[in-house]
Amino acid sequence: MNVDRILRRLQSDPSFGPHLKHVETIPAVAGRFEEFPSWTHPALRQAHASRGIEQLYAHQREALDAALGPNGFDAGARAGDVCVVTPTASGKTLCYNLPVLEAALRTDGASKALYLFPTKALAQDQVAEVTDLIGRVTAIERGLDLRCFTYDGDTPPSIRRALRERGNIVVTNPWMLHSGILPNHAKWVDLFRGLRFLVLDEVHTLNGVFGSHVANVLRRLLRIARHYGSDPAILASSATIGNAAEHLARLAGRPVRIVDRDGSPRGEKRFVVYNPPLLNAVAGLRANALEEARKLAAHVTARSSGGAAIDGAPEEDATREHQTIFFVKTRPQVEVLVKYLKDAALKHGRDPESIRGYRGGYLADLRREIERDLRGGKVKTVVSTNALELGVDIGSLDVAVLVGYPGTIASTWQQAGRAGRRGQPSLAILIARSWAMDQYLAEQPRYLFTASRERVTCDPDNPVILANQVKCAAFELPFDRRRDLAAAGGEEPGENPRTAFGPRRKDLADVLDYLAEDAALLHRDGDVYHWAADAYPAEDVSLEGEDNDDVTIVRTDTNTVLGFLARPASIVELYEGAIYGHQGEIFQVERFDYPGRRAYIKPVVTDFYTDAQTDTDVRWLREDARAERGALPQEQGGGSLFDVVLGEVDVRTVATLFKKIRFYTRENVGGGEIHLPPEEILTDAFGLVLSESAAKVIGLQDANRGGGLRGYASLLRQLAPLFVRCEPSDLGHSVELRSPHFRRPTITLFDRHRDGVGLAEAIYHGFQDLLDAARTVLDRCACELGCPGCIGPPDEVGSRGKVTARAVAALLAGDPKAALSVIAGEDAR
Amino acid sequence: MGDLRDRLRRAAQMAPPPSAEAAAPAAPAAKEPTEPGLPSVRARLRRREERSAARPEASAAAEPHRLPPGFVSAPGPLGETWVRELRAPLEDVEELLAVDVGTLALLARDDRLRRLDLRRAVFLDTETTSLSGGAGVLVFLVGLGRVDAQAGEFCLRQHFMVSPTQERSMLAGVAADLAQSDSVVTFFGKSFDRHRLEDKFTIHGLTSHFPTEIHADLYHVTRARFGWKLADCRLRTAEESLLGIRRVDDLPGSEAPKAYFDFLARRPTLLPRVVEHNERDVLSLPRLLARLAKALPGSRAQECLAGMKAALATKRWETAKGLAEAALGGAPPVGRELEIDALRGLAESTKRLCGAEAALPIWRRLAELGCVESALDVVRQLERTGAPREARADALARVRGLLASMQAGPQRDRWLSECESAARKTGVSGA
Repeated sequence: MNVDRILRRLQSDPSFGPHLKHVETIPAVAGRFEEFPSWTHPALRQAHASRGIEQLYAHQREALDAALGPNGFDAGARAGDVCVVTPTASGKTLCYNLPVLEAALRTDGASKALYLFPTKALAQDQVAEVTDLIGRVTAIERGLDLRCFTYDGDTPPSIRRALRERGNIVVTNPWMLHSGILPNHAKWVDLFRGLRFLVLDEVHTLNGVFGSHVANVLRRLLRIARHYGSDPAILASSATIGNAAEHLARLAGRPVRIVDRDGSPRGEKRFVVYNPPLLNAVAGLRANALEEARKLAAHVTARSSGGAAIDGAPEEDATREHQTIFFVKTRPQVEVLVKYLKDAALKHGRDPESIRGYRGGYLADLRREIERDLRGGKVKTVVSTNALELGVDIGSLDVAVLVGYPGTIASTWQQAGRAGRRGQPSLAILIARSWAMDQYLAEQPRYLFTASRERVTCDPDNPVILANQVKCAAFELPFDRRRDLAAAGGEEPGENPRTAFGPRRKDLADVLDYLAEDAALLHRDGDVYHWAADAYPAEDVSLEGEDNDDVTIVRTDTNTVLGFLARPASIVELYEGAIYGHQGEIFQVERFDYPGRRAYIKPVVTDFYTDAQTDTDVRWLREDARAERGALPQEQGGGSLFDVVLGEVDVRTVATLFKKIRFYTRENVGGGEIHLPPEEILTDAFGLVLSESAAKVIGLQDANRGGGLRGYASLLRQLAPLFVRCEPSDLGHSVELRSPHFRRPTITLFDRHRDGVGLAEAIYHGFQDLLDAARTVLDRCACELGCPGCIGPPDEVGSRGKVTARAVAALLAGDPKAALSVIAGEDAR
Repeated sequence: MGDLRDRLRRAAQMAPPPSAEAAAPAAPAAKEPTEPGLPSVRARLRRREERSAARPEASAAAEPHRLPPGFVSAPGPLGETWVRELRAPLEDVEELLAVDVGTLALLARDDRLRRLDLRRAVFLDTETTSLSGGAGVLVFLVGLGRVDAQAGEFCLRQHFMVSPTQERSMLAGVAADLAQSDSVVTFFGKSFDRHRLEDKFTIHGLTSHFPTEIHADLYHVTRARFGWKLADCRLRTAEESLLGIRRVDDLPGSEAPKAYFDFLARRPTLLPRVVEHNERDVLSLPRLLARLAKALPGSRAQECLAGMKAALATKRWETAKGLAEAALGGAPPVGRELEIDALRGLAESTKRLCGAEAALPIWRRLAELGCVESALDVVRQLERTGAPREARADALARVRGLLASMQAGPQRDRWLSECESAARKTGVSGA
């Protein structure tokens, strides 16, 4: 593939050329290579050689040395904890597979490893990879019996026993570990006794509340391992994130050596930002990104030689067929774009089978087939959600088209990284949507290349999560105050030594006493707490991140299962009348048995797809604490400035209407109502309620100030993780200019986890820091009318957004005078 | 913030939600935020309390630890354990010791049971704090029974755990007792008791002496022999309808967890009745075993066949297959008609359980015995699997042969026409 030729053609095409806002050339980097360590077992070196790996990248060598030391495997010592933080396709898996197999070879199979992957797809991929490697090793080292198994919800009960007793490498996911393996550790005694390695893949996904739970699951795992006399080393991998060392230390409970100097060669990459033309300058409406992706496909996807060009694009004299991946936001978008591309292929006599969709909800076999055909080159074009952002092995492709900004810098590079064969030039194109964030990047593309990667956070010591996880741990093994608490030193995080459950000894003791005396789940005898209840706690403690309550999608014409969809998504995708796409085929939902969690679909011929609208409603149910803050001078009416409130809210998302939208033209051709129960959670919330006089000071009653208040609330949500360890996605926010509950302007930040995990409470206790931080950001941000770095771009917050937000910030900082002068400054202009 | 335990506790027992008035702005002066508690934990606890309405009152505690009657302290390999011993006269010891273990082996489809010697067997039943599995389940009472042939008595020994801290020493005592047996008799023990005990031995690093090799699980035997006529296969049902024993005032096993938790918390407890329940369970085992292994009155094969037919009708394929095998496997050899009946049941259940290919040899045997329908089944199966033409032609020839000697009628016509269509597909000329 000739990147320059594609690019030149795009630039010379009058419908694209003027809109290519930025072309960044990321220069090629030569690889840095090292020899295999001299200690490498000959069989292992030979096995790699048979796959064409004769040398290592420098970072692989560094990781191996960090794990097993300069002299190689030592049966008497724990290996080093290492995390490899390098881009996709840089050979991260070798960094853990090699030490694991080296140890297995040197111990005659006695050394075991547990692999933890964040998704089933990754786990199955990895089993295939390791099994292949094991096959090569045992073909050389005959007589050695090594086995690698996946253990997940799909594992048939009939082979579970063999797997428990004979697996040298067991591959699983956090949910199975939490609710299947750990509570039944006696059944896994062979694994635990020999456990030398704990492999954690893609640890950047273990973030927020989910990551906080998983960190505790790891504490439980290590505690059980110790019980059986093992002390595994941690071998991890991660996408590039801003704070790998900190994140790993929190997750693993001890410092982990970070290897992040990538030694793999990189071909030259062109990164293009494409901003579709304005259709309506007044409304700021741009051409639809998905439509643009379809048109762009004519230039960036492969065609068989001699085939006609699609959509009138100039013929390409391609030297060889290249592979292209499109990343879109949602499952329905995958299907719409696949349909477009297949239609175009049919029209021009090309093979529509070379175009595939890939997303969650497909059956496992189908996904494996697509992955295989991508590696084998049979699939030329794939349209995916972020499901292919993680390290599923599909080989490297040539062109990546990002239909819309993925939301974070880290994701952008993960997706763009899918393009780039070893040493070959590659192309990545970001198509900007009409959305504010995308438009900002289209105007300021440097931001993409200069902003630092996002930080990821988790908080294993969150009291609610800790209490729940200690409950699960107590089921697994008793707690003994002398052993489990006495080792602890200080009360502050970071002080050593730590207990098995983090640094806060007193919190652990409190939880144990609470579970024993108040909740009556544990029996305390002297210093020892035993589980004493007829319950299986792991079943009641959800790790979040995955809803197992799936809806099964059944084809009525063949009576077969087509796939699954998580229940929360079902209300917007499987309502009666909805069009459901699958690999470019079109189905319509005939009946949705919501209580039975089954949707019945039949193939149809239509020229439209459907799009559902939802309403999210946050209702205050109860206040647990409330305090007035600040004082307004008498001349402005006196009284307090605002109240802070902690309480319980009901967050309801309901699918209301759907529209039928014609393919290609996107005209609205009808629609209907959706009658499905709302998705509802009860959770904790933190409220900021402005007093009426304060609202009057800054003229909040003016309708066009609402954008500023919304922008300010969204800024609070973005900043909260700095003070409360969580991810922005763990929190939700809502803004009401007149809340029905408080009857005043109200900003609500709520915990997005069912029942809450204490995030709102933490904000309530530290709200002043959060408000100060928001004010600092607003005052220091150089933008005039708003930008993604503060309250969002002007299109979103309105022309008075920034001023309003600054005034609100001043007011909430207890400074009504400053608020007044901000407003006055605006009026003066 | 107060200490975490206080917060958790307060969250669980918080006063009712403030009324609407409380929501209105209250005191004029700004104050420090009040201690909020954790509503999320409260919500969680509230739901849990709703689930287990019988949540014990914390105040009802403080009754002295009272052991269930009969338990005495006994030295164990790893320290003190609590044991209750009981001897019960056994009628017909000789008869019990001479039971036909072959019948058991046949019914259980486990040849290892032919080595079962009740002089060396242990009869076992456990009481636990949960019926689900997992490391947190406590096995607090283990009843072990043995036949004392000389005294003509049945000896029961129950091990009890006064506190979970004694788990290890109790288990060591149980293991030492188990080590004296080479076989075990349980009811549902293959699925439950064995795993609970083995898990616990593993967790405590103790060697399990559970005799897994020769394990008679009477639940499966009861199912195989009487499943077709019992309402269900629970031990109490079997006792009532097979042994004529009706338990009076028996505490259901499902009450055991609560009884033990009450005991631990020193609340009034039904634990003595759990001990009694366990005693009855173990005492029932030898009698049930004798009944199950008893040579069948009249034709044993007939009884198996009746059971098989009932099982087929209710789609209990496992049971049907077991009974068909039992009917065929007994001595003396059964007659031809009976054999056909049993083989047909075996073919049907095998097809359901293992697929048509597994049933093929049985159909062949039936065809040899002159069964036309099975001969056709052979033809159909060979066609499905694309067997060589000669094999299919042979099978067709057999069907034709059988049909030739059959009386004319609609059934024969149907078979003939199927036969001819198969012949066309195979490319064999018409008859």
